[in-house]
Amino acid sequence: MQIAVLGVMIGNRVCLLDTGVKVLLKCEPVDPRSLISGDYVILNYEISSLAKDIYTGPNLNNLKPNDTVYVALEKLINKKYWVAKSFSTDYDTLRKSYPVIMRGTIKDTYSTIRIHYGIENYFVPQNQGLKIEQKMDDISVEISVSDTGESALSRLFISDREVTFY
Amino acid sequence: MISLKKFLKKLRVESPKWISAGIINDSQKNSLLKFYEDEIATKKKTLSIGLPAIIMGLAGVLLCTGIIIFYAANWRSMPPTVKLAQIFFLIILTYGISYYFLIVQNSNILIGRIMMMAGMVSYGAGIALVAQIYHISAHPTNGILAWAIGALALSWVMKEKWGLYLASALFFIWNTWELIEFKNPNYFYIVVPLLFSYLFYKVRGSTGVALMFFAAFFWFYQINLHWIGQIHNNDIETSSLVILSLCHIPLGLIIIGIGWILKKNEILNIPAVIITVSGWLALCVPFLTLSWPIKLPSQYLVFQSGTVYYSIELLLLLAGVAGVIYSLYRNNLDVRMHWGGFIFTTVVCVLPQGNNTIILAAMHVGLFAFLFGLLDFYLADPGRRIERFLSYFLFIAFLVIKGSGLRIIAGAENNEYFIAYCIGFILYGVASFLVNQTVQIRSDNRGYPFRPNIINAACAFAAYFIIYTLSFKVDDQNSVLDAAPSVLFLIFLLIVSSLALYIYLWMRSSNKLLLVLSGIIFFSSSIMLFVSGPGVSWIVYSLLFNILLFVATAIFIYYSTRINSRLLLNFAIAGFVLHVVTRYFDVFWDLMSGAGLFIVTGIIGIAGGWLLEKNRRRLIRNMDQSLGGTA
Repeated sequence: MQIAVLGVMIGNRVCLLDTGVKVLLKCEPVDPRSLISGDYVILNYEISSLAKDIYTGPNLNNLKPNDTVYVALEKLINKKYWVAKSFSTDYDTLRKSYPVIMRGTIKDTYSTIRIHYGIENYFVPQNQGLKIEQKMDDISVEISVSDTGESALSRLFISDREVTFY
Repeated sequence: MISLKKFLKKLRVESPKWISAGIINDSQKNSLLKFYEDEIATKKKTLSIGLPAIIMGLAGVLLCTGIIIFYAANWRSMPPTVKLAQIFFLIILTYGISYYFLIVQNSNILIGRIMMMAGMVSYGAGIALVAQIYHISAHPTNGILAWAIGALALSWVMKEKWGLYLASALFFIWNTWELIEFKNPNYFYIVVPLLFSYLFYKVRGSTGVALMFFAAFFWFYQINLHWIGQIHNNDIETSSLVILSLCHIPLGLIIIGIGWILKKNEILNIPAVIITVSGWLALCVPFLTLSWPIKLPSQYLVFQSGTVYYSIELLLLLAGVAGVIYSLYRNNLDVRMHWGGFIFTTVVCVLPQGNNTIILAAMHVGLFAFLFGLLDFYLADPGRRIERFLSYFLFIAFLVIKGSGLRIIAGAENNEYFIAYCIGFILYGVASFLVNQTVQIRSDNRGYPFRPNIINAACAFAAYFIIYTLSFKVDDQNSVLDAAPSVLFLIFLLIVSSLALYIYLWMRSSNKLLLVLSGIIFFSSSIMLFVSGPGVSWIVYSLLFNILLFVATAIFIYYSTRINSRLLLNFAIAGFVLHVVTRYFDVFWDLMSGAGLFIVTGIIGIAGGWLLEKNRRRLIRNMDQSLGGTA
């Protein structure tokens, strides 16, 4: 049973990475952290903080931490990165207008809405976090987004060059 | 109950006397000694854990820690697929070895169990590894939950106690993480402690059952505090907190009942002690929280707008108490405290709980009734050692809490009622002392063992401490008659109850001296309460309270000679010295230069000490002579 659980976890990720829409996101620098569970770099995206005026769902004031929201992404013409065009608690309405929707969870709702997508941690081999930290200003990641809005980190780039550790 | 070892020691001392008295002969003595020596040896053998087992246990912990750290290191030279293959292999290998030792060979059980634990930890490491490789950070509690379920399933099937501890700890981490990080109240978490209590019971894991009890207790608070967190209205929040506090009476009674019933169970008798103590402590919560002058929003709090959830919870808990009373009846256990708590909570629900005077009076009446019941109800029952210990402990604890609380309120917020608050505490102390005396009379009449001096001494110390506090300079005071009606009513209640108890005790008690001596403190404090007010100079207060402090010290010294208590005498003399030294420095600190003050103080100290010691020794000599004469 335990092997099966691990298998399902791996299968789910492999499937998402293979079949999801590839999206390139611009990162903003945040210091890397290290825990006993392994070193990782905390990634903060431009789409992590959204302005309230692009909210298109019902009753903005009712949004609270831990609510699930859907963020519509769009790649601008002649631009590399995808940006958030709209967000809502209603997936179906967004889906009609936008092809790529990401699911996230609200962390806080102050002047902007801060959202976590579950792709904020990039695990790196021990003591390799520093290398990324030094180039934080020029980092981007490629993620895969499924039809249901689930996302997974696939590749990390520093100055447009993929970072590989293995 | 004395330990077997102590019993054997006693037997060795006593058995020669039995032989001399012709009760047993020499051979019977030897047989008796051998019987108990063998029993102790067998017990030792059963309990002892061999060094190899300890080493293997430690090795198991190191192995599991090593597995976690190894995969957390995320070795650069090892591709993810290799790591995944390794973890799969490790899980299969550890469970395979465990299966071989536990099932196939049925020997080296310890190694088998350690391997099973290593397997469970490898499974957890596998989950962390998948999260690491695929950079999964969304809702990390899901990984913990998956690990906990996996560990639970295997431990349940294999009846593995260590695995149950691991799984229950993981469930607890998952629950707490969900609660704090994701604000999830986790209503269904209660299933975990209930299920694990059953599983631990099946594997005779009494510590596990005790831990699960605390997990269930934690759940009670997490749900209630989550509800309170959802309230954004101050009045409703206060009302809800009052009802939640009241809920602790039926909750405590239910827990106590469960503890008493479980005590009969061979496996659960140790957790039963922990459960019972927790129940008694829970029962104290409303008396601790609601017996202060607090601002409440309305006349009725139960079943008002916004308090429906808590009101229903209170009713359900009261229904639970009814069930517990029924169970206790069936088990021939004492139900007086349960009935008392049930009736008290029901009455408070009917009363306008939002009226500060009523809730304050009700809580003090309830508190004294509770302390009296705890002291009095369980004296005769040899199986109620916990209650007897707690009766002394809680009596003194409440004295300390009330004293410190009132002192803080008086000093911090209501300096103009400083004397009123402090004397209020003296009245509380006198009432406590009188309750204690009442229990003593009842225990004397029934021939039950009771040690009144522990609480008497605590009350005396509390009174001395507060009078000492009052003997310093105090700011201008308001008249106590200008205080809040709730405070006035409480003072009135304490004075009237104390007077009633004095009359009752005067008619019943053979030890009238103690009543007279405590009465001096009671009446003089009560008079001081009404004397204080605007226009009275601090010098008047200081003079009167210093006289009262000397009177109190004299009372303690006198009483110590009457009951021949060296301990009380020494404490009283220490109090006297403290008082004199304090006043000496108060007066002379500003009058003399530093060096002169210390030289004069030293000379006076030596002379005073010599005089004091001389008189102390004389009093002790008199006590010894009096004891010798009596003998």
